[in-house]
Amino acid sequence: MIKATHLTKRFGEFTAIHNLDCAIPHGCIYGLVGSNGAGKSTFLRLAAGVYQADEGTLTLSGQPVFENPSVKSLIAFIPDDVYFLTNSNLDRMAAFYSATQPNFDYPRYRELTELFRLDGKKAISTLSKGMRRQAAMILALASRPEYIFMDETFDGLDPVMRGLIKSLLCSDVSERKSTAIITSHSLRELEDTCDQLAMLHKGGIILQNEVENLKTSLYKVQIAFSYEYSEALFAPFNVLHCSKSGSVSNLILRGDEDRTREKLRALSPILMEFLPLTLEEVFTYEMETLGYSFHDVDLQGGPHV
Amino acid sequence: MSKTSFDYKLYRESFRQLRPIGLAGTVVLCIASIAMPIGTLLNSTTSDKILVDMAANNPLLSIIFLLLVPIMVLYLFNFLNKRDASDYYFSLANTRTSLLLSMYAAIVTWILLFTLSSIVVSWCMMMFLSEYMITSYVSYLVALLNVFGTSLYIASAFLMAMMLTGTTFTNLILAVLIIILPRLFFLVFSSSLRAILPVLPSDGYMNLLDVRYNLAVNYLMFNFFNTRANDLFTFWPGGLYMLGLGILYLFGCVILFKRRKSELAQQPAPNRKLQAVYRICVSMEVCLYPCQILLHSAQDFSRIQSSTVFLLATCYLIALFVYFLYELITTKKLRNLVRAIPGVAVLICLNLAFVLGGSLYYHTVLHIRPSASSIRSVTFVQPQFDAEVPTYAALQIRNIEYRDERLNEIIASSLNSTLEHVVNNEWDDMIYSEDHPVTLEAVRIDLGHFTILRTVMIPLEYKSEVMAIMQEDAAFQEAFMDLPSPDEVKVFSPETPLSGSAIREIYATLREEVRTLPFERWYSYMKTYPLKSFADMKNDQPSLTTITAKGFSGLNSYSTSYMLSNLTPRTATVFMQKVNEENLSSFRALLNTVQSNPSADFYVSAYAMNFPEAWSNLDNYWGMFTVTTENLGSARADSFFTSILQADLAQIDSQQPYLQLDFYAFTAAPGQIGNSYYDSPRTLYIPCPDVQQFRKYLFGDS
Repeated sequence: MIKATHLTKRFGEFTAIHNLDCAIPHGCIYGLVGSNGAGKSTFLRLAAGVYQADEGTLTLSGQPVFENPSVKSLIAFIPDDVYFLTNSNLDRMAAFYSATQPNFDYPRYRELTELFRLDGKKAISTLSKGMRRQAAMILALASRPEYIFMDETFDGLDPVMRGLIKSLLCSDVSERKSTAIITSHSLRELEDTCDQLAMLHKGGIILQNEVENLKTSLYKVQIAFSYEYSEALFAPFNVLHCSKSGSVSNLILRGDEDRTREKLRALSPILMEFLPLTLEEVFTYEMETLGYSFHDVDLQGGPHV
Repeated sequence: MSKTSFDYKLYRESFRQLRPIGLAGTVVLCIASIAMPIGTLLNSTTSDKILVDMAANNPLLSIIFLLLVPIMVLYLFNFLNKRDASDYYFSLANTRTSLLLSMYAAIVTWILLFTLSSIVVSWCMMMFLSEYMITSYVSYLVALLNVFGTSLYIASAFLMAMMLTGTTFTNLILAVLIIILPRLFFLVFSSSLRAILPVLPSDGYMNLLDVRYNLAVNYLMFNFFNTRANDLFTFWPGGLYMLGLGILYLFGCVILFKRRKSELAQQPAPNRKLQAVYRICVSMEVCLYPCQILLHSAQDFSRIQSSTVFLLATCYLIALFVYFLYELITTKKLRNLVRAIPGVAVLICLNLAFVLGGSLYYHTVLHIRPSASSIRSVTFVQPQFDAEVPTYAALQIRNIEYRDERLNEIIASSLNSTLEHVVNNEWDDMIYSEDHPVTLEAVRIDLGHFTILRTVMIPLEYKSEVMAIMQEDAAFQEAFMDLPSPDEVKVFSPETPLSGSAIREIYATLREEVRTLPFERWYSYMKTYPLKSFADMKNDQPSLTTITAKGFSGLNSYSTSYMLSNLTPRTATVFMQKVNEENLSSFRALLNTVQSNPSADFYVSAYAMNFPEAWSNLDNYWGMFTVTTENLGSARADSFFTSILQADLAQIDSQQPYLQLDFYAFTAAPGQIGNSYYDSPRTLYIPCPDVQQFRKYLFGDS
């Protein structure tokens, strides 16, 4: 388990992570979303032992990470800006990884190199951005880590490669019970890969839940009545959002769907349709409940730490 | 080893990363080690063996710490200047200590390879060229220590700079500051002290703070100020000091590295405190000049003129300008100028510390006036940075501690009066005084619980007394009377061409004979370079020839010329006998050539020597004449040369009358007249037991 308790990290006067608590179970693919500057990369670097927390703790299987080689040897970290040795090729990097990562698996490396169709002897400086990410992924997965942290990893990858990486990741997690943390500013990117999702905003987690729970916790209902009515009609229901246009109302409801359906049917609507919500819409309404405007959390813009 | 302190695989990887630089450096150094002695040999104008030292043979060793080490450190640890690389390396499964030490060890390994390969190749070259060149092999070990220690120091200094800054430019600037600033500060401080206290010697009195101990700075200064060229290869205490300082800096690097934050990459300075330190250091260097003026003025306020005040004000304004300008350039924020104001107080304190510290030292030195009874011993310190090669005796007498009450009295009173001259600002007047001439001597005075180094004005009237005291010292006498053994001497350079075995035999005879001489006689005959202010150069014997003996005494080379004369008659006789043995056959060959070849000739000049008083007018040069086939046929010539060939040349005795014949073979180059020449003269010493024999030689009298 990856556990963060009252985790805080500052850069001068700027607080990147503030009093963050989370617990990521073993064998989980954990997605972390947030705008630029929310603290995603900082959190990953704390988890990878690159940074030392100013306050609080972050442990992997109960052990601190910073300055702990035994724990760090179980981690593979793919940052947003990947690094390779100067004038190196993939094979050279593999040699370097094999020297620095105790579990580096050469057969696995060759297998992945073939899968991604990368030439190990070609200079990395000649590779495109996407191919570099693939190279970083190869090296990380070949290290057979127990913890894999990926920062904006899908950025720059084509859909086919994204699919491949996702499947490799899921395969590793399921076979080896690895734990993965993936950050992104795109919910859609993480929706079909992650088991749990969390939203980071201004250094803290404001929303966290399992993806399945998130998807089924809320639903949209489009309903119309032949008679005049007001929003008070829906008072017995757990309504997060209601918008009325003429005789048609759009409701975002929380609660047991079947029971809600029965209760609404009892109101004799002339139109009643249950529609699924996208994860983004779920996040939007959940955050409104918590007092945040999703539009404030612009996932595309904002400062970068 | 575990990854907490050292990671062998990471070390190996780092070593591999440095391979291009390492191999290039090794090749260059080895080529230089091969080329330098060959170049020295080709440029040599003497046919004698050449005595070379490490500085001449391996001058490029310095590029190890001047160039290769900084490049390696900047290259290997460049990840500290890039955010992505920094994050990557800090994510490795190593502690910070293990990361640093493993990579540092790779640099150290290459330093060792550079030094060892260069020195081993040089050693091999010297062995290969041993017939033509010779060196002190002990100096190789010292060079190894010194270059290695200095390289380690430079590596640690550069690494420390990289710990504290985040760009290559600031790495370089800070590294140079770390290496040079402290020494520069102490150099200016010591030179400022010497300006107001000329009684302090030029070096040695600041112990480890003396610039000599920092071999890197010392070497750089040598290139600009021509100070001590050979310290890098001979001054082993400096090597130990550099090694110790390098290790100390490395400890500092470990501590800094543990605190190093990845986000410092690409930042010029980690925090405002360090920025302030840089600012103050740079400005303090500008303040050194006005500090010197202040220190000088503080000892005598009457010397302060309005121009001095103006100069000080200008200098400090410039220093302030530099102070704030540095802040503006590095941070590019005007509001930081206000924040930088408190740092001026620190700058002022440093200036005050300089002036007050110097003043305190000044007064302390002036008050140390030991009495004669408190002096345990006196040593005359020889100049350290003289380019001329010292004599063997000069090397031996360098560290003699003289324990003599009268000498103590002279030194004590001289020191006291010297200090009075300093107080009264009469130093320059006294040096050039014709009414009260003095001689300046650097002396080390042992007071028991501590030792002081002073330049003392000793009145010339005491000179002979001091010399006599020195000459009575057994160690002093030993230094002159005990010549180095023939095996210890590496190169003999005789003025007269002779075989090596002959020279050694002559020298061995000289060595034995010198021991039988009275010390005063031999001492007055020898030049004593380092003590030339006291030496009586007395050369009342005509010189027969000179043999120069060169070698190494410890790490220092020496060269001593011994003139052979009637002062050492036995040696002179052996010399003459050896000359006769080696030249008689040449003489016969010349005669035969002239006899058989009408166009051949050779030159002869004759000197008569050692005739008794009644015939002293015969001690003279008896002319030079050309020997040709034509005049060989004359009775006179026939008698002359027949007598010579029949003489028993082995009976030559330098104390008895003899005829010295110098003959010059003529080499004719066909075609151009200008290419013909006479060879260097060879000599025969013909015994002339009496005047009759002499007349028979020269005039053909029967």
